[in-house]
Amino acid sequence: MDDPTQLLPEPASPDPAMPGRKRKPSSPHEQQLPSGRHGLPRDVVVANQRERIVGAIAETVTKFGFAASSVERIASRAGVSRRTFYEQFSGKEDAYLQTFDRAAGRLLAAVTAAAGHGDGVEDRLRRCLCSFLTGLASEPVLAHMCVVDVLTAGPEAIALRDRYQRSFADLLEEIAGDPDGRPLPPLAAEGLVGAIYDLAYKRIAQDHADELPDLLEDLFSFSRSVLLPASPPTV
Amino acid sequence: MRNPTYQDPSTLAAYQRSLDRVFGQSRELLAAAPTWQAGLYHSVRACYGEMRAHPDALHLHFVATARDAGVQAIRTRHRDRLIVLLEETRADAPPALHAELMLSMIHTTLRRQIVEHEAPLDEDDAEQTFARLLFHYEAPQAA
Repeated sequence: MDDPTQLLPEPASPDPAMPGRKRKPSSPHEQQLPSGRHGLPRDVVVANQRERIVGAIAETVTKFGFAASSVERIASRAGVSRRTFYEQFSGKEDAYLQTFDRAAGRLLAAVTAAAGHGDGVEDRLRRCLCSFLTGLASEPVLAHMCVVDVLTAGPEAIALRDRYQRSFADLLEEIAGDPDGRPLPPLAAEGLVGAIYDLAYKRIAQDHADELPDLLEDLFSFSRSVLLPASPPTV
Repeated sequence: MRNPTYQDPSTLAAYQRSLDRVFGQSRELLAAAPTWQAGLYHSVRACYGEMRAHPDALHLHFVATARDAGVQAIRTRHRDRLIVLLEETRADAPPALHAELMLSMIHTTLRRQIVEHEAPLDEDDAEQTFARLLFHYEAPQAA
């Protein structure tokens, strides 16, 4: 996988089982290795199965919700047996948490890297927000699983989401704390991250994740007003 | 709405009635204020007062919403209608997305303080928080 924000397999043909999604990954089943004697090393087979399960849990949770996403349903979608599923994960909560952690970790890494390429506080902030919005828009199924379905995935999932929100707030504080920046009001970054989460939640829940990048300029000007209030206002 | 999880419909209905009262008050408050920021200040103040008077509603609005899709949906609908009201009532209203972000930011910040204190803030402390956020904001100016 070359794209650090990409978790799911590359999209192939449209998936008729999931109407309404703007962009869909290929079915995890399509990533299945040939059956029988293929001579592939065990670790390759295990990694392939794991990728398929990870893809399947995102698709299944987004389509059916967390509660109705049984291990049987996830394993079937992934094209693996339940035994294989349990060889890799202790249960669906474990599979969900690992998938969430991996996806959110990659998004955080991509956003951090984007901010690192910026020149000055405002450019860093803009790149950071752009990377976040495009990262969610490019993976709508995963975005739904991580932003919307997390509310129903149990307290450990909520706690994991909260930790990532804190990490995003730390990044914004670090950006705003650049030498040419000003001291940040208390809770400004954390409040802003919560607001951005609400903004993303609403669009993703309505299957409008593809519209998120269009919000960049408005989001940037608001974020600048919060984090860099001394900046001269522009349109 | 996919995945509603809150199990007590009567509590949800009471919460919705609280939000409806806040919305009704906001119609007058937004129209009477000298600026949109002052109008939103009075609206948020009325909302917090309503929540303080109804602890179950306060719990849903600030605590349960972060982990419950059903409550989140109710709160989002209320925020969206308030943004429409602001746009319809005030010629000086900020861009809709800025109003959305401002209301969410005020909510997130109050929520964080309530969760940290494990109790509702008194009205003066809450007011200080949202007044600072509202009046600190600089709207983008037309070129």
